[in-house]
Amino acid sequence: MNEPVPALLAGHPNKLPRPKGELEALQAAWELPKSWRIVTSVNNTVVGYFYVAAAVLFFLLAGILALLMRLQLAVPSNTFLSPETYNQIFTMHGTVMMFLFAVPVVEAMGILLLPQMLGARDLPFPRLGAFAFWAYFVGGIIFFGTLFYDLAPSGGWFMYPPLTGAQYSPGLGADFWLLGIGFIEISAIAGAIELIVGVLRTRAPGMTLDRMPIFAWTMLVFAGMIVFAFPAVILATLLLELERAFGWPFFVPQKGGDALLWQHLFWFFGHPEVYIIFLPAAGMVSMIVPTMSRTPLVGYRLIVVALIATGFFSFGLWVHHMFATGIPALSLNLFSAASMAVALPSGIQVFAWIATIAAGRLQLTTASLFVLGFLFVFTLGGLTGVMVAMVPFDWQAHDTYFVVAHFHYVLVGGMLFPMFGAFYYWAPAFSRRVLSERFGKAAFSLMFIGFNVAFFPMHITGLMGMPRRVYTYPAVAEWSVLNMISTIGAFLFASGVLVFLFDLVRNLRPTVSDPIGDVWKGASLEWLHNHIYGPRSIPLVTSRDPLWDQPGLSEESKEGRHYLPGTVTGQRETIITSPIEAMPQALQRLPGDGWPPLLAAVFTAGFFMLLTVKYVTLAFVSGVLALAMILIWMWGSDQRPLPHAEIGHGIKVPTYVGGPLSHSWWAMVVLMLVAGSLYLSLVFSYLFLWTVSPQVWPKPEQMPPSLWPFVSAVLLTASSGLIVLAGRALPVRSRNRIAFVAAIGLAVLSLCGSLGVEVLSHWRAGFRPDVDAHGALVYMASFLQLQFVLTLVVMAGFAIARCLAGMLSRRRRVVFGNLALLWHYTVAQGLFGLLLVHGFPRVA
Amino acid sequence: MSAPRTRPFADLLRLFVGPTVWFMHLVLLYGVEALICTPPVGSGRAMLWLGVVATVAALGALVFLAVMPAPRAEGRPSVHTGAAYLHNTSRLLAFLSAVGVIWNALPVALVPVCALAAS
Amino acid sequence: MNGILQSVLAPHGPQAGQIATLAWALFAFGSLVLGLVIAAIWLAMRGAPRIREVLARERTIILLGLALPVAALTILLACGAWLTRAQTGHADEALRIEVTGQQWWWRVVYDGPAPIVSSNEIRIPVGQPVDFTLKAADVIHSFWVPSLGGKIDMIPGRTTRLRLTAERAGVYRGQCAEYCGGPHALMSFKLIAMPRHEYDAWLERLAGPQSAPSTDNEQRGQLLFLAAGCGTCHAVRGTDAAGKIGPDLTHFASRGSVGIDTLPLTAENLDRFIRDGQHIKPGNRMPEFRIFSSAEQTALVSYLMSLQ
Repeated sequence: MNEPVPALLAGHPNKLPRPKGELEALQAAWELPKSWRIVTSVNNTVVGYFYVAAAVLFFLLAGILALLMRLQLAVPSNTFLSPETYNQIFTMHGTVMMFLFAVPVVEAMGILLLPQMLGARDLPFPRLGAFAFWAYFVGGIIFFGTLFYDLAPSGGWFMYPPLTGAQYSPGLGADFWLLGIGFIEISAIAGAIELIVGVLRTRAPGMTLDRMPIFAWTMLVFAGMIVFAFPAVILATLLLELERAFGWPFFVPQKGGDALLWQHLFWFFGHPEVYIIFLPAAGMVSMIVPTMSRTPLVGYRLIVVALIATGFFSFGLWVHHMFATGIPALSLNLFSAASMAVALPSGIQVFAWIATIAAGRLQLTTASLFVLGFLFVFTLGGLTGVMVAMVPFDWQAHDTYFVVAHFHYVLVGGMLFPMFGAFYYWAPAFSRRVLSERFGKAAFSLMFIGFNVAFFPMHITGLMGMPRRVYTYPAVAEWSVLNMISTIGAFLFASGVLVFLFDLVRNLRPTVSDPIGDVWKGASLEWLHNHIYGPRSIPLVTSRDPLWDQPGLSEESKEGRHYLPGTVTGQRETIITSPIEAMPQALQRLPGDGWPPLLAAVFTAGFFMLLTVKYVTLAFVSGVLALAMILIWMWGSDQRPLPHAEIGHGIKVPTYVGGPLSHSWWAMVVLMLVAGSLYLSLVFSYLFLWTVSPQVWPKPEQMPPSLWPFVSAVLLTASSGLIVLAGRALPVRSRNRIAFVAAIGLAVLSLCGSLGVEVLSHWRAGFRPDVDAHGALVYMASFLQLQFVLTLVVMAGFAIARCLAGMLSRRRRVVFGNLALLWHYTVAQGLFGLLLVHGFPRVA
Repeated sequence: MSAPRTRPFADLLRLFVGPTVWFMHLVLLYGVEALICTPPVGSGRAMLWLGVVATVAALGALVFLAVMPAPRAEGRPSVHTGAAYLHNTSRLLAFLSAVGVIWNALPVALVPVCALAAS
Repeated sequence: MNGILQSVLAPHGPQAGQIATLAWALFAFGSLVLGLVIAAIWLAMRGAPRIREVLARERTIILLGLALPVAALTILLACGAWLTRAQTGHADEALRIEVTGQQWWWRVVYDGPAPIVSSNEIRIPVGQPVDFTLKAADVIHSFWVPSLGGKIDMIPGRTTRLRLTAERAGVYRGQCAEYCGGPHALMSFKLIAMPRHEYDAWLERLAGPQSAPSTDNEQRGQLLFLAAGCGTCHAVRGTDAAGKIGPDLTHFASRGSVGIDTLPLTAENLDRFIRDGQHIKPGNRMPEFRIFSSAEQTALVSYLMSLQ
């Protein structure tokens, strides 16, 4: 796979010897904080460790909950757990496994592995990564803690209203779920933005998209899916929390709401979620198999197609979870077809891995065993998945233990086994010692056997008529035997995990500077001599398997003969490359360690949790502190432009870029995609509830006069125009700030005015958010718009402050660029909203 | 810099065209059945015709996507650039999406509109 | 419990029968594919070089990983669509019964000139399709009788429907399949399929007037029942008790169980349930009544046991 390199990159490695002090300067720039201050580190390796460790902790906690459930179900009519406790435990087991383990652990592995795999020094937004981790960790710990105060939610991880509404779940449990999980989802989105920009913009020079390791592809698809899937559930949690707190009747049928709206939104997130978890694990398998078979991956091209197809097809399956809700049969079969479609990419991947094994010779290491276990378990889970995709079969299997068996085969098989394989495979890249193969194989055997003993019988239990989510069952002979077997299996599985933990304690010696390294003779860049700053010099990649096809690469990189062998600016840096061809485009200076991301996360978590327990004042204080921390952190970004920097081979790149060349432009675009899908979810909710309850929609003559939306639209457009003018008025140097400040100020007024006019128009027309679903949705549209307006007001103030401080000019303009992007997006969203809420009732 | 052509955003977006056609086809059929059944407007015949038209249109779009010529780098076709690779990938995605579209059409042909488990 | 039917794999009606056949076909299909994958893995690791060389081709990936699944899944999809079609549609001769799910019991209303209300036990004639009209009073429930067919959710604000047919007389256990909080696990019911003439006679008796309490004890029990406020939640036709929160007790003693299938119907169990219901069915909506003297309790029980 050695391809000729573009002329720009051709050239010989840097000359030896390297200048004196170059390495020392690099090390100094990347020096880690000492002792306990390590928590202020924003470096991806450190944050990655914390992240993986926290995720594993939550896995163990949720696993203990599972064992408690299995104890309760070991015998019929057991009284070990009360129904309420059991309901809390199964809710927490599902929620913690999904939101606090599965997604975070995958994201954590991405943060830990990607920069090294891509040959970057760090991810492009280190502080965002640290913020995402701390937000998740603090929020997760508080959320889990609710179990000990009997405040845990008990409505199931799927939280279907009306059971989770204020009437049937009056306690705080549901609020903890809604605010806690909503908050953790925001952290997941922050991580996703980081990963997308990291994969697209910080690859080593020459690593074109078709030379990128499959794991990076999967992380790209994974993060892309989060961007489109999570907003749906964020909207759902917002709607339900507003219904619980203020009585906005989104899910109350008597007032034009509908319980099924929640299910649509939840599963539009929930089904992709399964693949969000599975894809990165599949990516790990695609890395482990070639290394262990000593041969390049067969069917790379097909696998990439399969990954993207899975990412897309999984969004067409959400009704698959609603086959028993009385939706017309034709529609059910449409989604049955979509469920079949998503099976195709999995077939491709499975046979591509088999082909790779056939092409080489598979060494039976622990990692390989986990992969083989994965192939068996996941295939079986996929097959039962095809079964439940058949509408009539699902009418029987739905909500029974058959489904419990099915998705544990998919999730444990498809995600947990590869993850454990990955722990064994990548441990040498981060530890001074390898993990023990002997313990590893024992752990695998126990886990594999235990898993199948626990979960295979559940297929039968379910078909024998046992529903899910029951805290006890009557003494039917077959049920008792099968449940007892499952319980034994669960403990066997847990003993395997215990062996793994023992191995970790004995052998894992995490390090950032001198890991044992390339013991498997891998092909990808994480097996270079890596330090806290990644490789000494960032290698020129000319092949899909650089360490196999480019002999001497590892030594050359270590000696500093490739790109960026030191630090040009004395700060932490990484190379920004073009998204597809990976041509060097800029040198990005990365921020150093510090408290703001950690404190911002703690205060943000504080804001959400205090709000949950209704300490409004304290919550507000916490929120302001969080905002202050974010502003302090942002103040240090967008550093002053410096002269072009030479990164080696005589290539000079700018140290300051704006617009589509800059990494922050890409992050902003991704953020806008998130915002767009959040808004589309609202549009869907509006149209959906209209089809259910058209009677609560106003007649054209009841609508606010069209002058109101017209004024609002004019104000919106004007504010966008003012922002364009402000861009023109950006000072060249430090003079002439008045025009810029005035333009921004007027734009803010105009934007706020448009929202005020919009809300007032509905109020004067007599619409109230708590009276019917239409009113609730109309105010909800303004509520979403309000969040953007508030963000923009803060950002505008920030831009003005930067301008007055002489830190924003025609040349140094990224802060303004981001503001303008989000501004125009908000205006577009506002105009669309006006068209929908004022136009639709007039034509419908 | 004499970099190969860079239209990264457009090239990445093209990957999504095929699956998006499939998704729109699915959502359109689902949405139309929902409208036909509650409140009743239209009929089974309308559903069938719509299914035919939507499927032909979707398949047409996917075929068009598949036969579009590969991008050229510096005037010559090149298989080594990432852009050409993406083009190839979007072709395969168009093929998979076409299978999905045909499968979507199957229930429209086989299952009567608005049928419920009992009525 | 044993001897009560609640299994997908023991179908007693055409709807469940079709699905069971499909299930067996799917298991066969699944085993075949799983066997194929295992064999391929084995050959990839240990097979002859020529076989491994074939397996390692990209063309093989496309053949086994794409072409084969496309063909197999197309067939399955068509089968699924055909079977869905067979399980839906209109049936002229269907009997109608309305069932409403409530936390945590079932209200049953038989269609007739004057609707007959019952709860927690459903009787149907053998051999006749029954169209269940399903509603929910509070949260989402799901109506499921595994031996007779699939399940359909009961959703507040919506009406869903399900057709079941029992081919043989028998007692089929049904259970709520959508998590509905609290003692969801105990929200089951019995569906009793009986020969047509027995069913007709039973329904006729149910529609008829309620016999007044005959013995002194029963009369005292009735007075207690009304005075203690039981009628706020329960209804007994022909008395002032007209509550709708709990099960209708008009023909309470003709049903087989106390506390929805949690205990068989006997005087002792009824007595226990009144005093100690939160232990028998934790979280249920009925408070424990311990205000009665033991004589009063006996009178109350004997009244309730007389509600044939």
